[in-house]
Amino acid sequence: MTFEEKIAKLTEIVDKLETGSELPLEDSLKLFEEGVGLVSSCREMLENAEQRIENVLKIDTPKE
Amino acid sequence: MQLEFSMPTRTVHSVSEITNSLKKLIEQHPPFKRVWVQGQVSNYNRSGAGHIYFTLKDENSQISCALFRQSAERIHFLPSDGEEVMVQGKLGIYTARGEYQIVVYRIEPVGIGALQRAFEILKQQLADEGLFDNIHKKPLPKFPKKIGVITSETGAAFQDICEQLRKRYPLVEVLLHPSLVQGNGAATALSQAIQMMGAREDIDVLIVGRGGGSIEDLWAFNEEIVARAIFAATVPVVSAVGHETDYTISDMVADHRAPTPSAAVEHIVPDQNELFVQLDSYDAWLLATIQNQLNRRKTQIQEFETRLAPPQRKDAINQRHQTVDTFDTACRNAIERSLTDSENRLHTFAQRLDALSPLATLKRGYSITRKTDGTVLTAAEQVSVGDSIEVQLAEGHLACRVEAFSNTKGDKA
Repeated sequence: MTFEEKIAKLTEIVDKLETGSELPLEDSLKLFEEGVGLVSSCREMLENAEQRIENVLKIDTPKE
Repeated sequence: MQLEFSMPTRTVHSVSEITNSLKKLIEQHPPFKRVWVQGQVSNYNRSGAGHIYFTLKDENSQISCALFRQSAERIHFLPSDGEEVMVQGKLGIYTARGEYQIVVYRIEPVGIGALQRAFEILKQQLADEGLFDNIHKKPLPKFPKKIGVITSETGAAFQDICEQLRKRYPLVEVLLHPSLVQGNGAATALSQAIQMMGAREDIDVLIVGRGGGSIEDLWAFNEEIVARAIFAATVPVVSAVGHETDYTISDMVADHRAPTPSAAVEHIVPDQNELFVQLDSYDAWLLATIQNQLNRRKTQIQEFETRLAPPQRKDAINQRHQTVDTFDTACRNAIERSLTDSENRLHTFAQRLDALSPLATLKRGYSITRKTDGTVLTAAEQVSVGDSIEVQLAEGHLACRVEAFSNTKGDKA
């Protein structure tokens, strides 16, 4: 999943938890776990990101 | 014959022949077919037929220029006297006058005055066509994955962009298309790069820009071909040309205008510091929400518990317990009291008994007389003469026999 997809999923989970207060506890807990997992994987993505720069005229030679 | 022989041979040409052969010579010389010439405009005039004639000159020389109607109709920027311009055209000879000239098909402004006027003309033209209208502005993606950049590979602008991206959102990939950004050919290079990058599907947004400079340095970004390439791009384009105050046609036609290349980055990508804060708040929210839910469940369970053992029943039981306790205490008290009472009464009885006891009477000299069966005699007629009777004294008994009796009350036996 891309960062954007993760954030979108996270927003969806938060919405579900917010509006679905009558969700079965099991489902809520599942959503909660998924949400917390997404938060930490988003954090990791940002923390571990390394900038990638390519030159269109020198295709497929990523620069450091 | 000799005379004739000695006569020098001469070839005489007509004026037209000379002119035509020069014309051929010039017009067939490849470099002259597309020549760029720069100079100051003078003697500008438009004929009744719509053709435009002017002279280009510098300090030492001058050339006539002709801009025919068909070409003139395609050119937005037509020069004025005194303006420095660059024309492209083919060198030729106007045979009727034997003058060489440039047949112009392209004119570009060079001097500041010309540039400013050309800028205004193109701006008006493109505005009239609706190229700047907001309806055409494409929104920027919130979290771009890949950013295209068109600028000079060695310029400060590209370094600034990469540095800003690294700081704000290192997740994004950068695809650079190097391009000339100033000087001859810059507009063409830029427009070709924009055409190519603007159609790529793997790019979420395209930055087109360069650092600051003079109006001449930035001029490529005021060229029509660049503006039209930006307009045609399917990828959203952010124009980032020069400094805060530089405003170009590219800025107006682009989907978004950033005052500098670094500012373009701020426009395009989120700030990871803000994202971290947002993620923290998601974290906190999730935790609070799930705790909330758990607490609510707990409350629900407590409610059920309470409903299964309703307080009134508990109360009743408690009350009964209490009643029992009260009874208990009352009983104990009552028993104790009654015991005491009994004791007291017993005592009183005992005293009264004592008072009533015949023993006391006997002690005063009275006696009790009983028949042998124990019946106490209170009347003489209860016995017959000869009956055995028993007399109880205060101390001891007497066994007696009746000898006589009278019925008189109060008589002594």
